[in-house]
Amino acid sequence: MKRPAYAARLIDVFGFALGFAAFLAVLYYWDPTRALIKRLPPGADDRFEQIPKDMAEIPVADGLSLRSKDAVGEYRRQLSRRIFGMDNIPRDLLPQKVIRDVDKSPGAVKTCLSPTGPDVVHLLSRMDTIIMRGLGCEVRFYKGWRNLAGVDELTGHLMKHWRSYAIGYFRPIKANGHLILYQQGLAATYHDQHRLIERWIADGYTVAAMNMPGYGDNTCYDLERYCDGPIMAKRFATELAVTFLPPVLAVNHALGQRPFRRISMVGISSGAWVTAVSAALDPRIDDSIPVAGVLPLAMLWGKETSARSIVEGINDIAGMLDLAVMAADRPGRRQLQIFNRFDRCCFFGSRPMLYAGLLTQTAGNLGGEVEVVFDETHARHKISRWGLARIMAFITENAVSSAQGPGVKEGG
Amino acid sequence: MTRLGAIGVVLALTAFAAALGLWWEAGAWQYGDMPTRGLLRTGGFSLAAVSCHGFAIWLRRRGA
Repeated sequence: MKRPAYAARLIDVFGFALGFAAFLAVLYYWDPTRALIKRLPPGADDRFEQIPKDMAEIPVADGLSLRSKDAVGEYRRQLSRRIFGMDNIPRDLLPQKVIRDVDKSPGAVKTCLSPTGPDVVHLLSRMDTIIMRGLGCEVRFYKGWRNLAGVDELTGHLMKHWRSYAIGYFRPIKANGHLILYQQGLAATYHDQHRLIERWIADGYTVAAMNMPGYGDNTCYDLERYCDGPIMAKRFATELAVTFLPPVLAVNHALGQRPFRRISMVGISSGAWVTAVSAALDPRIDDSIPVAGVLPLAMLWGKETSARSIVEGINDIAGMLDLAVMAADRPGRRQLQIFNRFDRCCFFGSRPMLYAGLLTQTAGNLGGEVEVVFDETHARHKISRWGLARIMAFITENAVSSAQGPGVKEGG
Repeated sequence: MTRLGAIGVVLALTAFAAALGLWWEAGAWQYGDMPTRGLLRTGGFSLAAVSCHGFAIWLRRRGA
């Protein structure tokens, strides 16, 4: 009689502890409380609110060599020569292969690594970080999206049996004449951002979604689908071209389909670095929004230093501050840099405050605008609800001002 | 059910209901204000807590 009563009491205590753990889990995972928790430990203020002493001593102004409008063209030419082996970006180059309406007929795919679709994949905990999810497999889960006319896959073979690109080109039924290029970062694919793309499509935006080299379909994993034919051109068989060519091709393809009033580019994490370079290189991109990434190389620490390899090959021509100014080199061209102040991954804190004023002033002298903002609503490495609202306000505000003047872009 | 058990069950169910509501309201996905992983962890703890209290009730009935 006594033993079961004693055991039952013990199990009750254990159950109570588990219930309390459930309560703590809500506080730990919910963004607002997680951000509060991040601020609690001693030293958090120094980490997130203050500029580190060693960083404060960096001569930031020296990292910005671009001061005049004339220099922008010269920097762009040098960058283009280094990346594409030619004086200008290849504006006439189109994707090697366009698979139309993959949502209606996806064609043969090698193996679908997430056969359950995005929602269920996310329910399987870590499965959401699958980095090989391909459009041919995922697209059937996008069929029910409101205002989606179809999804095309723009592909090409860049390094023999090693590197390919596959851009997801989402077409809305009722288009608002605005193209958004979305560049995903590392350890994920743009399929993880399906809610973001779904919302843009519902609002009438045309979306070209891209992964980093080696992620999603940007590999020759599916040899028959992406890497069966000859490579596009030898000059594009470099790591720099593999990284920075897809956004150019996406714009070329889009402008070949229909005119656009405005082109915006959004990128997160490593995708933010690609966004910064692409916007600097390609003057057709009006708004650029790098999120949770992009700092001068001298300011990187910890795991952030892995981003160095993305721009190392061009940093001697233009540093990250130069690139920001190049992306805002005339009236109507603007860059919004969003940093997650409490980011548990990287690029957290107040370091961008060291040069935000300098960027704003220099871009302003050229007629453009660079703005740096901090997202304090969460402690994760992502585009938050607040971040998305800022992005949409930024894009919409610019779209309104461009609609008042000329500036319709057309292909060719 | 003991008072401790009742509080434990209410705590676990309230936590799960809160997590589910927050997850759903923010789009029901990993990048919402409440990530899917958070919902699963909360759900796991809640389920385990309720199971413990249920098991304790069963033990008491068996011993009575």
